[in-house]
Amino acid sequence: MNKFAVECIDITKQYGHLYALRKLKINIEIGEIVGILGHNGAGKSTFLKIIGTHLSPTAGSLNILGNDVKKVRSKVRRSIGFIGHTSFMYDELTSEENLRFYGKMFSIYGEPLERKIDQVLDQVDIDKYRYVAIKKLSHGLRKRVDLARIFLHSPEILILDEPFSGLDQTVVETLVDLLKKQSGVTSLLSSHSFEIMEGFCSRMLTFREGLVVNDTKSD
Amino acid sequence: MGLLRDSFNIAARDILIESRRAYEILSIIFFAISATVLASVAWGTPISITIQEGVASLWLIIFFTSILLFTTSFSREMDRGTIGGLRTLPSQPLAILFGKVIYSVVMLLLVIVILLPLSIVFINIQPTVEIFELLLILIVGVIDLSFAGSFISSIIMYSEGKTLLLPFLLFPISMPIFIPALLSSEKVLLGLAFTEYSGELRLLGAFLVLVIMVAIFSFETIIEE
Repeated sequence: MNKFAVECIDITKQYGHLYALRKLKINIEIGEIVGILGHNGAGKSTFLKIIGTHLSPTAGSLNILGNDVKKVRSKVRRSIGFIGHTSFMYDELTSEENLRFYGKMFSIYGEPLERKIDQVLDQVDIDKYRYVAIKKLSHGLRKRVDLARIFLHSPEILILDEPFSGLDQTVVETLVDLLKKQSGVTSLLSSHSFEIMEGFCSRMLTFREGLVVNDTKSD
Repeated sequence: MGLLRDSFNIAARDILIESRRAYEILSIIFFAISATVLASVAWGTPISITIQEGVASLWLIIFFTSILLFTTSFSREMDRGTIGGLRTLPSQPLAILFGKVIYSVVMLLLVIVILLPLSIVFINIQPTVEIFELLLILIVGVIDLSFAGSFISSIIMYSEGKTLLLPFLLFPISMPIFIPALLSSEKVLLGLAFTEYSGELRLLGAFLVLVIMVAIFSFETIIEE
């Protein structure tokens, strides 16, 4: 069985003359919760987007759960749940309709889909907002619907880019609790805040100018 | 099978969104209605409008209406950040394009359903026995236009000047659709036999195949980066 959830082999990402990532060599073990720290422009989001198959690296190769992303992108995407800076929800649709759409796109249909929607809405505690249009929800509630979306297809890897930004302390605690409950799931989260991450991350990567300058594992 | 199912899911979601934002489709329908009435006034009395003038007006209205639709087709996904959600999906990238094409075809056919009776009254389109032949050409033309327009819409979604670029690019690319669609519609209304306009239909078919081939080879690059 493959030991690594993510294997980055000399990953480089270049935008013109600008290097966002420089020959990154990182292995992330299955079940690790990895906090990614760094200032703006350090390469955190680019790294997560590449792992999340949103971006292709300029050079290097990437294996997710032992699969080469270049060869089996579709299969890899089934094992990833990605939350970006912006919400991927459609404003005009309700939480339930959004989840139904994304569920179908992950080949979940009929009764199993409806059951899964009930389960994830309950999991993130927004069941009472299931018939409310996304545009009427607060930032924190939208974030929860986004979380519900990534739990829909039971991914083995969660990638969350700045999941705590703009959220009050209570919502942050709820999210942290939710992530802690995902046993066996590999999680990668970026944040500016060391304080939030240190409490529950098993490993911290600090990025600077496209390089990992610090890699710390907690006991 | 998976590609088609995913395409229909995306199209169904777009139609549902459109139904929640009725003002957008209503503005497109209102544009089509007012353009028909204006064409009628511009040509003189409806009864004096020739088949050539009527058909040209009809296709011009469909063309300009489609621009309104394609302008927002992909750019809305880009502007709202939901394109990121589509990039997380395990489906084939082409499903996104085909979904947008199906959505555009449905919307344009809705416009045609409203436009056709108005055309009879205002621009002297008189389909009697030829109604099914005319509908066939309209459907094929709309499918062609939807493929070309949706594909261009995807190319320009990253540009800040997308509202300017779309008509600029759609104009030359739609000529191989516009001209045969116009000519075949004229021939149908003049009562000519199918063999007289089958060449134009073949041209429309060939252009459709060409656009699909270009999309198959390039769309993944467009959507992924």
